Amino acid sequence: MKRTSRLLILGLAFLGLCLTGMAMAAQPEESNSGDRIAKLTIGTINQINDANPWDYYFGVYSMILSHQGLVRFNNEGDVVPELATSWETDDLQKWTFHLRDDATWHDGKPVTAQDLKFTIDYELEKNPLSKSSIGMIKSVEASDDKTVIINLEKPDYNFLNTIAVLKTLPEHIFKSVDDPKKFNDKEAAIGCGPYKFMSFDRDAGIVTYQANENYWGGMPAIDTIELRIFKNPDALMLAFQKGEIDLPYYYSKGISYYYVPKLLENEDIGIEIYPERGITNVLWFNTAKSPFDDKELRQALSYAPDYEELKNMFTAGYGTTPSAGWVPDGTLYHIETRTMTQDVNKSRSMLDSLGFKDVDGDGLREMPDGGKFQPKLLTRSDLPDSVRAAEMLKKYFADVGIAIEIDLADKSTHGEIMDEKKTHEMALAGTTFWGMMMGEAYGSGYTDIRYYGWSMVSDPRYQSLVDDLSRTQDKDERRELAAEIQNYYAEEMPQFAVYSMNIIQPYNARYAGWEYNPLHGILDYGTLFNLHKA
Amino acid sequence: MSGRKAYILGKLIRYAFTFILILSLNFALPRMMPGDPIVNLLGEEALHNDPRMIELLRAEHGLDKPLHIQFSGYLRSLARMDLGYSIHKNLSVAELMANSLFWTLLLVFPSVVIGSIMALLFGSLAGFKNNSLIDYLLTALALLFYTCPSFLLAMLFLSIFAFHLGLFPLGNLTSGGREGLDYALDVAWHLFLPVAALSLLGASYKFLVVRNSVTQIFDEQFIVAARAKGLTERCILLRHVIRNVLPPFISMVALSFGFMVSGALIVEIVFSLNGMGTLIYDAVVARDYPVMQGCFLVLTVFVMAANFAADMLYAVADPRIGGNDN
Repeated sequence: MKRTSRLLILGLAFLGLCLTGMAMAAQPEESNSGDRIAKLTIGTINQINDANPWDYYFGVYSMILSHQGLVRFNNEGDVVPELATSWETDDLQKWTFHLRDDATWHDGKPVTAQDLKFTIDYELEKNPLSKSSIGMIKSVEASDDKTVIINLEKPDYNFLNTIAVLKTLPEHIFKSVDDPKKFNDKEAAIGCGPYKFMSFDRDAGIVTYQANENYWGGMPAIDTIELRIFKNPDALMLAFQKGEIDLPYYYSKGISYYYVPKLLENEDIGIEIYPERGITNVLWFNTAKSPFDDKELRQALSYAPDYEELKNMFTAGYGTTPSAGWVPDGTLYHIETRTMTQDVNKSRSMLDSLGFKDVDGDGLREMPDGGKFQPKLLTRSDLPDSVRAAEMLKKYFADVGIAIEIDLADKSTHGEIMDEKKTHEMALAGTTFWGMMMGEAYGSGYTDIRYYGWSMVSDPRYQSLVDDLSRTQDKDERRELAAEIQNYYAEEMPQFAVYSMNIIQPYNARYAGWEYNPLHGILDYGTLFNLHKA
Repeated sequence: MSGRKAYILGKLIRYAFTFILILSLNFALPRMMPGDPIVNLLGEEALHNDPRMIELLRAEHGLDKPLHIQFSGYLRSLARMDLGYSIHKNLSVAELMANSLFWTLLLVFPSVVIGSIMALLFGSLAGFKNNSLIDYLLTALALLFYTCPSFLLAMLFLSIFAFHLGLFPLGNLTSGGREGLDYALDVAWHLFLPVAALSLLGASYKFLVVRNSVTQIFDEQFIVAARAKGLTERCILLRHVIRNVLPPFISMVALSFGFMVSGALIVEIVFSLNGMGTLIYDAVVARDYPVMQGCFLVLTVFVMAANFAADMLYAVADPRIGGNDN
């Protein structure tokens, strides 16, 4: 018995030690007086591996907090000045940017045109990935300290969108760095934005930023920003409900509707619903593959799903019923097109007239030549909602007599098939705001075979619209082109939206002044400069 | 003695052969999976699907070379103890693993030890007091934990002890900005819940094995003989029964130790811990070949070392094994 009691004492002693640790750790944060916010704690599940600007998510947060580009997206999604105060171009091929003269790096040195030139040359030389975004840049000149001239391979109206996400790097830090991906020094995170990177504690999962008192745009409203990294959204939401964090934030995403009822009970929590500028789930046809090269078949299939049911099922009402013009409402020059509706009889009669008939009487249609018709629908296996959506589509298509086979693939395999091999027949995948801006915007990056081309469109009619968009500066002409491209989607249906979820963004309601930006969401300059105690 | 030496030598030769075989599998398996690390790397931000760029990146990571060249390169770097550089995370594989391995050992080692001790103690007790109230109670509890999915148990712990009672933190390994004893206490405080969850989960199935072995052994003839000699029940349990439970118990514990370095994926995710589980999972999802190879190598070494240790301990626990040939 002596031994047992000794063990018991040891166990209790260990528990006691742990609780002491707890008491020492649980020191409440003192909030300072006045309207300024001493510390904002942001919780995220975006995993940061290292404080290196080439780490994907550290790069994302650098762009939001500590780094700047020539231009920036404002809350309407338009491009506005940032390090450049103005720019001009005559032919959309040679772009001249005039820099502001009061911008400095976090170590006090001025930001010059030479830094901009260095950034582009350096990225193109050291980072093979950059070719995908700024590969169209032919040369850069710094004609004086405050003027940058960028020459492109060919005219590109969309260039401003592309350059908006390029972080400017300090030449004096990086000129001696041969392999930036392996340069994990604290200096690597020096930028010129409103916040300075202070530290990254991997074990604690905490990244700390401090307001930059020398920022050219004035002092932001929050002194310290702490980013707490969780590995699972449930623990993150528990921490939020407990008041340990002020803002759950996922880059370019909202939270699941599943958490909303619980959050509504909490008076300290506010919830804002923002329209999504990407599309949560899209059905892509490989239009380069028979029989999906036939627009009548694509149209027929688009009448099969019950879009209202899908909206209720996958967004719990926090979503929108898609329209045939595909491009989300809120996009510049968006036009009204037919709302997607279920019409089983129309779908059936279209399939009948195309020759897809049930020849052998098994309730399923065969190909016009009598062969078996069972197309594959490629779906991400790691996204539960995508798998469920695929099952729903299978049911809807079966209702009009089409048997489809669901082809599950993990993220890596899915990417390989869609981006490289292009062997899919139909596929489910979402789009993002930034993705919709790719190519010449209006989702052309996803559609046109010359870019990502998930729907593999090589139709000269479509490609000439895309080319015209790249060359046209006149606003009226652009409005017309945008309308034409949306009508093209509605008529040709190379892909259609299955459902789109709005962004559900909860926040600490004891603070007010939250603003929303289509690229960075609620964590944007509007919020960083205007947040105050409610 | 020659029998013991031959036993050890035979084992060593088998282990060496297995090791080489597994090294080759570690190289081949990741490459046999569909998917491509480079396409993964390009991701959402890739604007132009430029095949030259993919080729360039492949070349940078040596993935453009024929498989046999890649394999000999892999063996050569292994000989130099060079595990390479992660394709996705901007760190060397050794650096990535050193950090994750440290935390995994800190998390899983105490769990295996505590879980095993609990299983041996309570399993023997339940078997010893077969069909008593305490046996029913302990067995019911063990079955409950055994059938409980690990994410559910971990989430329950997190929800009850961290969220509702506020006794423990909601995740991560430390609170940050601490040093010395303060830091150690803070880490212990952070690891308490995950270690408790893993210990219970690990103890539950070992408990069932120990309990059933003890119950069976109590029916054996030599126990009757021991009773006839007039030994006390306690003495019979400690000297005769537990000794016979040890061999299967040792192999179970050894396996737990071996697989310890594969981490505890679910518990790591629930408690937001950086461990081998998430490192391996991320590497598999991203097809990060060097990281997968490195992790599998460490896993191989640990499992084999634990098995070897078990073989040796077996010989100690059961003198009939590896002893004299007669």
